[in-house]
Amino acid sequence: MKLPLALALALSWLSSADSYCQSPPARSTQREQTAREATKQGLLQALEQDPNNAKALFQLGRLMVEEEDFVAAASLFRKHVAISPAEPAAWAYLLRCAVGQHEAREAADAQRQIEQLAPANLALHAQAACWLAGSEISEVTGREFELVMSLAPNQMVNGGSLYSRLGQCYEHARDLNRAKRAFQAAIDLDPDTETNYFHLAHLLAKEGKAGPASEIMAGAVAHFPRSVATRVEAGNIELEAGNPERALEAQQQAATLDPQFPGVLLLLGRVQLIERRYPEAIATLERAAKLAPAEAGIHFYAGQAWMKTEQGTEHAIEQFKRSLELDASRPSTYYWLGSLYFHRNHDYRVAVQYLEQAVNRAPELAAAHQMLIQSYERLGKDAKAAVQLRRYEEIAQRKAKAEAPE
Amino acid sequence: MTRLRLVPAVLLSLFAATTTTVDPIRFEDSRAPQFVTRTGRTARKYLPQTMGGGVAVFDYNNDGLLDIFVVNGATMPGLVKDGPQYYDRLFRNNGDGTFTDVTDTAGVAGQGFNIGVAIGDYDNDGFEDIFVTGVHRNTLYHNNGDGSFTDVTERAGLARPDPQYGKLWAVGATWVDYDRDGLLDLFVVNYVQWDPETEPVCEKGGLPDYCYPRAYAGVPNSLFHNNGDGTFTDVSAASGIRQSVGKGMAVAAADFDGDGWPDLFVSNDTLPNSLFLNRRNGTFKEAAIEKGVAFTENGSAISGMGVDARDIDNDGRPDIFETALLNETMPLFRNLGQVGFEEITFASGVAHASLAKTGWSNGIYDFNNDGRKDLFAACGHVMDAQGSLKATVPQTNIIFANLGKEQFADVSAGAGAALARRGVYRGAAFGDLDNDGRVDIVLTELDGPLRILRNVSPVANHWLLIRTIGTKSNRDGIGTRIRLVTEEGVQYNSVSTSVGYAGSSDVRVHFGLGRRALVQEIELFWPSGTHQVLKNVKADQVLTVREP
Repeated sequence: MKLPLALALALSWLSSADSYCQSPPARSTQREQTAREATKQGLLQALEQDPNNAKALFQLGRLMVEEEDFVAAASLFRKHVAISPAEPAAWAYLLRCAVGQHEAREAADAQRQIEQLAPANLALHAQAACWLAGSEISEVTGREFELVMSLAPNQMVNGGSLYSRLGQCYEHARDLNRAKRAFQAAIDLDPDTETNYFHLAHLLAKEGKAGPASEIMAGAVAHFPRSVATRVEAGNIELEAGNPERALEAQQQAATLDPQFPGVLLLLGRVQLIERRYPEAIATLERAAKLAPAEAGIHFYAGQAWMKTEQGTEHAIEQFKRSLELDASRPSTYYWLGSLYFHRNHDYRVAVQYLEQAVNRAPELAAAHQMLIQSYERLGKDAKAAVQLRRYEEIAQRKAKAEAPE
Repeated sequence: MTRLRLVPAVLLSLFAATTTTVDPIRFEDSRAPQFVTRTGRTARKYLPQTMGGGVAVFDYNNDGLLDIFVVNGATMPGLVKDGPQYYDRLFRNNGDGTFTDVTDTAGVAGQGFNIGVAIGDYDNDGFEDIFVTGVHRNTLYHNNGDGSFTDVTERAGLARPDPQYGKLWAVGATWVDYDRDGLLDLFVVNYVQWDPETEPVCEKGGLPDYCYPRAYAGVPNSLFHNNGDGTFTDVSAASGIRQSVGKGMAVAAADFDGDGWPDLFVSNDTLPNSLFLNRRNGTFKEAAIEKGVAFTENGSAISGMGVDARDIDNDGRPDIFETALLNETMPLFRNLGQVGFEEITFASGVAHASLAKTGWSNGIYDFNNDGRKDLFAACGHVMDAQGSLKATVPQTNIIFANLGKEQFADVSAGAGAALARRGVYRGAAFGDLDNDGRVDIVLTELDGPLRILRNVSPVANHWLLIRTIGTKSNRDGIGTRIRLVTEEGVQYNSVSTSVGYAGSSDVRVHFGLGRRALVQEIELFWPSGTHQVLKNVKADQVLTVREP
């Protein structure tokens, strides 16, 4: 069964807990690593034969950027621009290296070059602006972002996806005002793509701007009147905005279009969960699970419902484990399993296993750090607890620094 | 008297195999002074209008009876008390169940939109002083000892705006002698950066409503050191307190780590709680994550509201009871000592009943005098009482009886009709208003009347109220830890007026003694370091203990 769009978005299920947690990039497989090494060796050999091989310099530099070795990459791209100074992509990568090394002057220089060489290249500037999102180089970030936004009026429909991605970059960097502007540009350029509305509405809802979020979704519903996906997503956004009654209305409207759509049941289950109707939520989510047994998010919410019932701890654990089998990437699932083993079962050894996974996947998940520190202490592993505390403090300091007013 | 013993329904399911019983807890409405907490209602919603309601019970004239001070709102957005309807009020307890409004004589009508109150004798002259928190203005009243008070805020150095944030909005405060020099210092809990000019417009279900706290930026709390000459020095930065930015609602001062120095727990609204551990050198270390109280098991920061810290299991370590929003439970953190705290909200039986409530002021008191401290929370939804969620806004208050072994049962349903009255409750101050040994509760309700819940719990258990008089320590004895021994076992409590949300409670320390009419031993650990032991103390009295 192909995962329908609305269900996929409804399964932004961990939105409250995972929205700020970017899972680490998937580790490359052994085969990919071998291939990458081979490519690198080939490029190095090419450069041995011809140190001014611009193509090899560029490709090797790109590999170095992917490996986040910005020093090596910068050296390669500097050589490249010395040979081909009019190549904007090389300057863009130099910008990326400067961001990685927090080099404000280098970044400004690279940005100026891109602007001069390719003033209207939206793809290039959108990528550069994404790299700059959340960086400490605020002046260059602002300039590049405004440049990208100034290009919007002259773009075609397909530019919408670039602005959508740009919005996601800035949302991840917690630069919400810029994220909103980018998402709005995506809608303006490409009003026929549902997800463009969803991104902006989710962001507004997360900010507590329930009214504007609802308005965006009302616009989406008007544009896609037969879309069950849009109705379901409108409900999800109402839930995020703290309006379970309106979420239920949206769910009921979605149900008239397709009552058997798993996303419709999942939304209903979530509403029942918020309204503390736990047995009903469990029953609804079990129905949803029958329709879409491979959906991790349905089991996740079933776990949430079970854990709120008096005797539901073991059922909750079972549901979270099932969710994890289906999707092992979500930090929140590890967190909840850790929490249940910690708080309910007092099995600190097992709790540690899950909580370590949670903090590795989502270093900013402070509650998981708290419980992991406590678990180590309960197990008498004071040294590990101290290390974990230091790790958390470093993360918290970085976060505070990033969030400090400029 | 017949000993009535009830078995709450919830217990039947939880402990069917056992025969756990609990002495009933009962309250009835007692005639309260005429007073309405005004919020300056407007069509547009301003965040302070859903806050406020701070109330204190304290003996301002040293006649042995608890009087009532209640704060009030103001016009919005002007923040001006433009008439008597907005005055803060002081009501003198006449000792016969009635109260007299002495606001004018006392000179405490106040200015601005006030939120909370903290009581303490900061100049050790034997008369309790009043600190009022408010929106962009706090007020310190010095008790002149003749029934009047003087506003000494400016002179005390407490009127200066924050150098970085300007005028702050304070909610809670506590008097605490953090450096144990015998003078009460002042910790002020600040909420968010707020300006009526830039108040965002929010709505719920198509109607205007209050914005979520995430629409506002947080601020640090303030710590003022008492210089002993009527002035205070802002040591927020030097003490390390200022490093933590939060959205503070309430504070509990207690010796959480058992080192003899007072620590501070601050409940934050939608941000992790803060735990400031006293480093014994004038500075504090924030350790909420390390000690396991920053977050509850639900993994995200809750909307922390009121807080009280007392020993619920009589192991000598103060535990923490916090209130929060609907669906967040009312967290209960058990103090395990050096390793920190464990959250027992679910395991204790508190979670289920509290999920359906939004709690504000709260307290840990032995309401049925059975020797185990119970839990009370004043409840009412945070959203607008006229808005789209109006059906859910008024709520009933909640009482959990302590069954021992860290188990609690919701006994609200059997606690009398007074408990079943729904309201938009905010403040609750705890104290024995009629000196009958049972802890009464004074409640405030937004745009509603002041209420007195008189404790009429029927079982005639014994009790003791201890009034500490410091000589080397601060005169109130705030911070004194008390260990009490009867044939039924050991109990612990400590002297504090800062209880719950925005309020101040009886400085006298209450102990329920069950069936024991004699206390074998009382140990007092004064903030000065003095250790005092009393032997064979009779129950059922207000015992004044002077520091030797």
